[in-house]
Amino acid sequence: MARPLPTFKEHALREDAFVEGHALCPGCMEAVTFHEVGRATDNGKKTVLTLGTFCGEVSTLMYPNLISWGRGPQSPELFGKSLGVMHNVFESSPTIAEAVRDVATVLEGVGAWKAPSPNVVALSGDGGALAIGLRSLLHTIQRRARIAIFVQMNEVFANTGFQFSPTALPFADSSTAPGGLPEDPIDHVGLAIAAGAAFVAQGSPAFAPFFAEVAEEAINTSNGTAVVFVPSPCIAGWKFEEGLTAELGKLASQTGLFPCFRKRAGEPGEVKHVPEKGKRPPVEQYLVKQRRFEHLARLVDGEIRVTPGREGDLAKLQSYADRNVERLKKWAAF
Amino acid sequence: MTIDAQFLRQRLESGASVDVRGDGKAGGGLVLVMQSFGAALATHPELDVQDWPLFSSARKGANVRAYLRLARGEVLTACQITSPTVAVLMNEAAGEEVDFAEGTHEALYVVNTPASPEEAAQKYRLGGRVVTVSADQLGQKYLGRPLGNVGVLAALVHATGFVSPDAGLESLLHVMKKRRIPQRLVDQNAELFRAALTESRVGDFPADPSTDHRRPAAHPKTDVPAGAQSALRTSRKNRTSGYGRPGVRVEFHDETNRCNGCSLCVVACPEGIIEFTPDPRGALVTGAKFDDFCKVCRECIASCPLDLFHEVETPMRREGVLESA
Repeated sequence: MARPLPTFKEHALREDAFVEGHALCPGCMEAVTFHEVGRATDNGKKTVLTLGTFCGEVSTLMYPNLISWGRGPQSPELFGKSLGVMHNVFESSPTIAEAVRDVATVLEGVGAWKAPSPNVVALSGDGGALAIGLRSLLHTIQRRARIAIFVQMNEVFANTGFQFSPTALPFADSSTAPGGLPEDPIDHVGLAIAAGAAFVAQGSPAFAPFFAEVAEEAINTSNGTAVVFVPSPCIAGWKFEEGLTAELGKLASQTGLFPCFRKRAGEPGEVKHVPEKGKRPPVEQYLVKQRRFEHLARLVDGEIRVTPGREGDLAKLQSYADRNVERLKKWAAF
Repeated sequence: MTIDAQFLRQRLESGASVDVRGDGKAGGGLVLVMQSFGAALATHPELDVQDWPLFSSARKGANVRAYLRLARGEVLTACQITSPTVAVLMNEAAGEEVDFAEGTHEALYVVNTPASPEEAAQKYRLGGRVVTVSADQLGQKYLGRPLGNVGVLAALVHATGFVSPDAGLESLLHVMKKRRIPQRLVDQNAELFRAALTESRVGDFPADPSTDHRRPAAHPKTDVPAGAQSALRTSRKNRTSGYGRPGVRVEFHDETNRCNGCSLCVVACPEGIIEFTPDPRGALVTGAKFDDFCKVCRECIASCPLDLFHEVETPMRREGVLESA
C-alpha cells in the first residue's frame, strides 16, 4: 500500500477556495496563506470565512469584478464545497466568526442543520487583530469561541499606508514611526495563550509541511479558539526584491524573530525551525534584505555594512531575537 | 497646430486649464512624479494647481491613474480628467490595460518607451506632439532597476516648459526628502534627472480621424460615463499578469518529465495558478496560467528544487494589442 502523502502535498491536491485574479502585490505572503486556508477547508464541510478590513479583504473582494473567493460554479446542495464570506470592519472578524459558529450550533441543536458542522475561519491583519482589535480578539479567545483565526503579521497597517503597528520589530521603519521605535513588540503568542486559546501557533507558509499541519489542526480544533499567527513579508511595506518572500519567511523563523511555534492548551508545545543559540543566523542577515532597516545596515557588494553608530541598536534587536526564542520556549512549557 | 510649450502657455493665458493625466503602475512612482511636478508648478505665483492621484485599493503593480490640473486664478473644477491636454504613460504595461490617450484627439503625450516618437505615435495612434524617453533604461543605469518615474518627470518638465529644469529637480528632491527616501537614492535620482533632460525625443504628428480617442457620447440611460475606478477595474477581466515587472515573464520547461511531485511550487505560488496532475507522489506540474495571471514574483523559481521555472526576457507579456476600457 502506498504511503500516505504528507499533509501539505495532500492539501496541494485539494480544491482551492482562493483563486487567481486577486489584486494583492506580486509575491504577497497573505495570498499564499489564503491558498493554504482555501485548500485545508476543502474537507467536506461548509466553510464560512469572516474578514476584517485588511489588504486581504480589499484586494480580493473588489466591486465590480474582482472576487477571488469560491470553489467554482458548485451547486448549492454541495455543502462540502460551499463557501461563505462575511466582511466587516477592522477588529470584528473574530466576533463575527463566533456568531456564525453559535448560529450553526443552534441550527444543529434544533435539527435544522444535517450537514457536518461548518469550518469557521476568521482572517485578519495584525493591525486589525492586535492593535485596533486586541479587545475583540482576546475576548473571543476568552469566551472559548470554537473558531480558527489566522492573523497575517506584516508589522504594519499595510492597507492604509504602512503605519506603525505594535507588532513591529524594533527600529523597523514605518510611515508614522520614521526609523522605528526601540521598544520590543507585544508578545502576541503569549497574549493568546494567556487568554486561554485551545491552540496557538506561529508559522510561515515558507515552511510548507509545518504550516499545512498547523492549518489542518487549527481548522479541526473544536474545543476552543485556534489562533495562528502568520508572519507575512510585505513586499511593498518592507521594500524587498522579488522572489525573497519565502526566504524572508524562513529567515524570520531561523533568526528567532518569528520562530515557528505550536501549542495545544494543556499539552507541551514546540518551537521549531530555529537553530540553537550560536548556530542561529544573526538578525543582520534578515534585516539587510529589507529597505525598512536600511538605516541600520545594508548590503554593499554582498557584504553586510552596518551604519556607523547603530551597532548598539542592532545588538538590541539581536537581544530581542534571543529573548523571544527563550520566551516562546517558556510558553511552550506553560 | 503644434502642441508645444508656447501652446500650453497660450492656453493658460486664455483662461483655460491645462489638464495633465498620468497612467502607471502602483509602486512605479507615478504619484511621486505628479507631486513633484505639482509642487514645482505651485511655486509659480499666478498658477493654481490641483493634483489628485487616484488610489484604488489595488496593490503593487496594479494600474493607477493620477490627475493634475493647473490654471491661472483658481481651479474650481474637481473631478477626474476625461480629456487631458497632457497625457503621460509611465509604464507601457499600464498602457496594455487602459488607453492612456483616452479622451484626446490632439495633445502632448509623454511616453516612457525606448521606441522613437514615430513608433510610439503609430502604436498608440497619437496626434500632436509625442515625447518619448527611454526612462526604464535610465533607471537601470543609474538606480540599478527599471524605474522610469524620474526620467519621465524630467521629460515632462522639459516638454511643458512651465518651470525650469532646476526648479523641477529642486521640487523632486524636496518631495523625496519628505518621503524619507535614503540620501543615497536621492543622489542617484538627481543624477538620473539631469541625464534624462537631454534624453527625451520629440516628434510632431498631424491629428486625423485615426488619432481620435474621444469616447462616444455618454450612455443615454446613465448619462454619465463610468467612474475612473470602475473603468480601470473593469478594463480587463480579472487579468493580473499586468502587475508584473515590464519586459519579463516566467516559463515552465519540463520536456523530460523531471518534476517529481514535490508540490512546493503549488503551495508557494501566491496566485495559485500552477497546473498539475495528481499523482501518488504529489502534484506533477504541467505548467501554469502565466499569460493571464502571473505577476512574476519569482516564488516558483525560488521554491523549485529542480529549477524547472525560468524568468525570460520578452518585450510583451502576452500577444496582441488590448482593447481599451
